[in-house]
Amino acid sequence: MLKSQINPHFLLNTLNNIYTLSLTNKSTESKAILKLSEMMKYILNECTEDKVSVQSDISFLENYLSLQSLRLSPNVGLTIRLPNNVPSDLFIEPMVLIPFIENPFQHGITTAKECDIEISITLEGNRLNLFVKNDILGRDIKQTDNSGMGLANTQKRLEHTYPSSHLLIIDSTNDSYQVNLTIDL
Amino acid sequence: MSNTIIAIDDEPLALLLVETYLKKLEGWNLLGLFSNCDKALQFVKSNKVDVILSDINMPDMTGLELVASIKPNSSSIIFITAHKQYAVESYNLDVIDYLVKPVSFERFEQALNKAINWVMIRDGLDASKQPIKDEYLFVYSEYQLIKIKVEDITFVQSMGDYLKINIDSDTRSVLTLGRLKNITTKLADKGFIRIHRSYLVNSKKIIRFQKLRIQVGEEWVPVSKTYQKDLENIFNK
Repeated sequence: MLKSQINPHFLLNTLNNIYTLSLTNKSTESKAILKLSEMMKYILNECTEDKVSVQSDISFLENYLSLQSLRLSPNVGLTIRLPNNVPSDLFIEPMVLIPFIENPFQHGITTAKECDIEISITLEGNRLNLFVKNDILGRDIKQTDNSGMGLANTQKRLEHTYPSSHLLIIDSTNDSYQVNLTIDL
Repeated sequence: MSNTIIAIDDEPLALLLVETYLKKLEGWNLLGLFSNCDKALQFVKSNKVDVILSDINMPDMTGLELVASIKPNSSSIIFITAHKQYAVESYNLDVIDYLVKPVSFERFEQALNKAINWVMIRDGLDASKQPIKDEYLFVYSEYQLIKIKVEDITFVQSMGDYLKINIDSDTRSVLTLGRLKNITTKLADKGFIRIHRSYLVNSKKIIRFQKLRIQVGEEWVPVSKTYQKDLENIFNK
């Protein structure tokens, strides 16, 4: 089974953040709990199917991004573009987009200077395009996660499910890392 | 007397939690919250920071690297991290405490109390180092400097790193940091004698004594065999 799961560190960090919100802020912690709960519902109920609606996959990503943004220091610029009116008859392999979206939060963040993360999903007919861009930070820090393996697994899943209907271009220049994924659903 | 403190974490909510907890505690002066390690290091170099609370997993520098580049024994370090695996390594850096997120207020307070003791020892504020002026002893207890008349002390009891100073005509006793051995030396010429590994008594306050215990003020205190002779000598004088 190559289906990737949500990163347990994300779960722990989010719960820790909700704990802080509950002690300090009156209104936002209930929203954060709801978002996390919706994410869990998606993983438990919908990911077990072969395909999920693009609508619920995108709202899963939206919840993820909203919870991750709680963690960001003010020098990180996060730009997100997600499609508004997603047709209800579009379906996608579950959890293939999330590894690309997790990646910049693990590798593209610094507190030393301004840095930018750009995430955009667009839909044209049944063609979905995901674009993710983050800064490459010149540093030598041992990464403790296994996101490299997560991305390799995801590539295998894409090849398995969309053998001739997807295009993945990963472009790594001197200062930025870009992922361009197109899938014909 | 307030202790100075800063916190370093790349996540704003983690800093918010520290700030919220510190507001509930007395005796702390929060000098800064830093999301960037370099800025925090610069600050530490030019300011007196008693306690540093630091995350470990940060994007540009780990908390372990940060602490390693701070002048040893200048600040007391407490790590706050989501990861348990650095605990052993942190011992090499002489950190005071290691908190794993999520951190409860009680655990946070416990860590800061340890840090206060560290700061007091660093600054030589433990009881045995305080001068006696005009027959008064000054000791730090619960963030205050307390003035005790030496002749009112009935006995001093050692409790780990602390000394419990019992005072005649006062039902409360004063708990302060210090070693019994040191305070014994200090009070030797004031008529205080050791009667037990853990007890120093004011000989003027002794009311009666039995073979292995004596009454000082209202209370009975044990006498150990080692010190029994010293005690008899005093009474036979």
